[in-house]
Amino acid sequence: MTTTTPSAPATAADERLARVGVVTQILKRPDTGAFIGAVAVFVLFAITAKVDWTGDFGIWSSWLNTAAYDGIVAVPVALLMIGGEFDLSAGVMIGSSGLLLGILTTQEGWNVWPAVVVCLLFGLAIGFLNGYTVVKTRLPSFIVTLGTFFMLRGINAGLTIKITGGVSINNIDQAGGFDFAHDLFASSVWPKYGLQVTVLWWLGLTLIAAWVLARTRFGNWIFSSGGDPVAARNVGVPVARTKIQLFMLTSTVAALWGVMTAISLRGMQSNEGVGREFEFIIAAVVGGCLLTGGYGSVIGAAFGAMIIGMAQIGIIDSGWDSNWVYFFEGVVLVAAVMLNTAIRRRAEKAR
Amino acid sequence: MTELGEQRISRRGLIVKGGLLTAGATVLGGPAAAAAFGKATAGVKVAVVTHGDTGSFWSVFKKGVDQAHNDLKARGVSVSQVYANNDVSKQVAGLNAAIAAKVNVIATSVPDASALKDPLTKAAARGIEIITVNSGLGAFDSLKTYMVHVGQTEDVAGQGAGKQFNAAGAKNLVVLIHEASNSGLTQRAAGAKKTFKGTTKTLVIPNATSDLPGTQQKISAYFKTNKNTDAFLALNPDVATAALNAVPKGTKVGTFDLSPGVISAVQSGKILFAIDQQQYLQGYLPVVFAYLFVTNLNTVGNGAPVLTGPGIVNRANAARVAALAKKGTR
Repeated sequence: MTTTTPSAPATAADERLARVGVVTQILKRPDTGAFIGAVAVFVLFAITAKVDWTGDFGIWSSWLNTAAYDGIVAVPVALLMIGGEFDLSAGVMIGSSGLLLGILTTQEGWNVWPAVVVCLLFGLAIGFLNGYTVVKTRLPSFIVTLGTFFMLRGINAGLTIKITGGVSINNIDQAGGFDFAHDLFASSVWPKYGLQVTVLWWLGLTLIAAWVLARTRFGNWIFSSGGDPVAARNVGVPVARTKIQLFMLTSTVAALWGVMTAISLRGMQSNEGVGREFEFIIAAVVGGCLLTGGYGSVIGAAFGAMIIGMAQIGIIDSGWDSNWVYFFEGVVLVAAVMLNTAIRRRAEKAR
Repeated sequence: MTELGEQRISRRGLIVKGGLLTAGATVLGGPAAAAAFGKATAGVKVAVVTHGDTGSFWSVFKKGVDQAHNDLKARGVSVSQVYANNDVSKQVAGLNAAIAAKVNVIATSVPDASALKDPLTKAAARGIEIITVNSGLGAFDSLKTYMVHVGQTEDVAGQGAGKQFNAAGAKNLVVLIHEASNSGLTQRAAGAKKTFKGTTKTLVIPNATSDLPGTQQKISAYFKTNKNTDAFLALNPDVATAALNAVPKGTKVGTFDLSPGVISAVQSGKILFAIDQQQYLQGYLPVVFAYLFVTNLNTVGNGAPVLTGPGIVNRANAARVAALAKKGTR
């Protein structure tokens, strides 16, 4: 039984509900910190770069293109992290898929498109393997996918040498169906400024994933599987199935990106993708995803990927040694997480 | 609660407003700031984009680029450098950054011609002059803004190495290929095989330079299973000096490219010979050629490459080169 003051009108807001201001609501979102971080990085490079970072859309295109390299796979990696798991094999999967495309088209003479389908099925299979192993053995996904990472890395190198005698597959552009694949995966949508179609793929994938996360039942299941799998299972969420599906999604998108990279480079090296898995994780974490799962944002991961893209191009444009990119990514990771946590804690204190 | 809430919101609001204000100020003030900092639109802008790593070979290359930059800075030449550490995707990103920055000339190495085809074609379409350095001879001659190749012909250099091993009386040669997908290295091995009178085999260890102890283990494992191998050809100076500890006594070792370790090993007889491609020139000359072309429309080569090698460094001449190698310029 609540007591209300006599002067309060009957339609007054229920004082059990706290009114939260719009600014607070925005700051509580996981992607706000990433957005502020992206703006800060942009401002930094706008000042230090020797070219026109603010006015020249050609420069925007160059870092957006670079952001898409990590952004596309960062989307499912972020979803998986929200779901409470890691996939360390996402990077090397790019190489495996690209090499598979190369082998089928150049050694076996296939048309590009059936080969693409096979590569995506390969992604689904590896993802299922990852997910099923994690769910059945209850080993940490970090360990399981680390194993997959090393296995794929060995297969990439060993199989390539066995089949071609070298360390890369080349001349994919000689295969049938290549031109349309190039248009779809590796062409320029705005030739004047050099904006690649990969940016559209990245932004489109991010928006679809954000909608799924926020508006669908599956998105709800992702949050609950990561937040508290036991409670989730108790209320009927198919946690195991959700996690397996997330692993399959991650490996398949990584396989798709491998196909896109192979088409763009017209070939694939056997060491491609090794090390990228950490950049995906950086993008997701900068985007607000907690390592423990249950919280995060794919729009934030997109801003995280933007930060990485801006760093790589901004450092070149500022004339600094390109080795500093790694240092910068490390600093950004720590700073972004601290910023995210600080903003979120203060926003959550206000009731 | 209202007062506290308002106070908190206004502090938080400050953070957001401050950030947005800075962003807005930059967008509006950017062009003004650019003018204030004197971002020159005239002058010669060169982008040097290679697949190089931080090893001893590429640090000499970088010294060449840096020296040329210093020498020509007063004449309005600015140089940006990208070393992609054997990651082709990063090299492509560096090329795209150079195109977006509207440079006049791109000097690039070509470890994988098909991977660089798209960005270099785009650069040529924008009227950017292209110089290939170190690797990629003949790969992009058809591009309309292609200027010249500065490097050594890998095939001829490889043949030179094969002849050196013949003179030393070797019978079974192994060539170590240390970079994923560098066609220049496979050409060197093929050249050596052409002239070497005995049998030639290749051993591929990708990214050997980033894990030298591991590479040593793999080399000694190879020699244990191929006991009658008596000659070893390294294609990189760091690999060569690492291999000295891994190959059996009496193996004849030759290498491509110099480093202080290689030169002292040549002086002491541990390494028979080194094929020098003078990577300092590969860094220095393209900047000079770019300057001369942009300001004076000078062209070099006339369709032929500007050869920076092969030079043979052996016990007879190693002492003279040693002093220069100590400065990091050979």
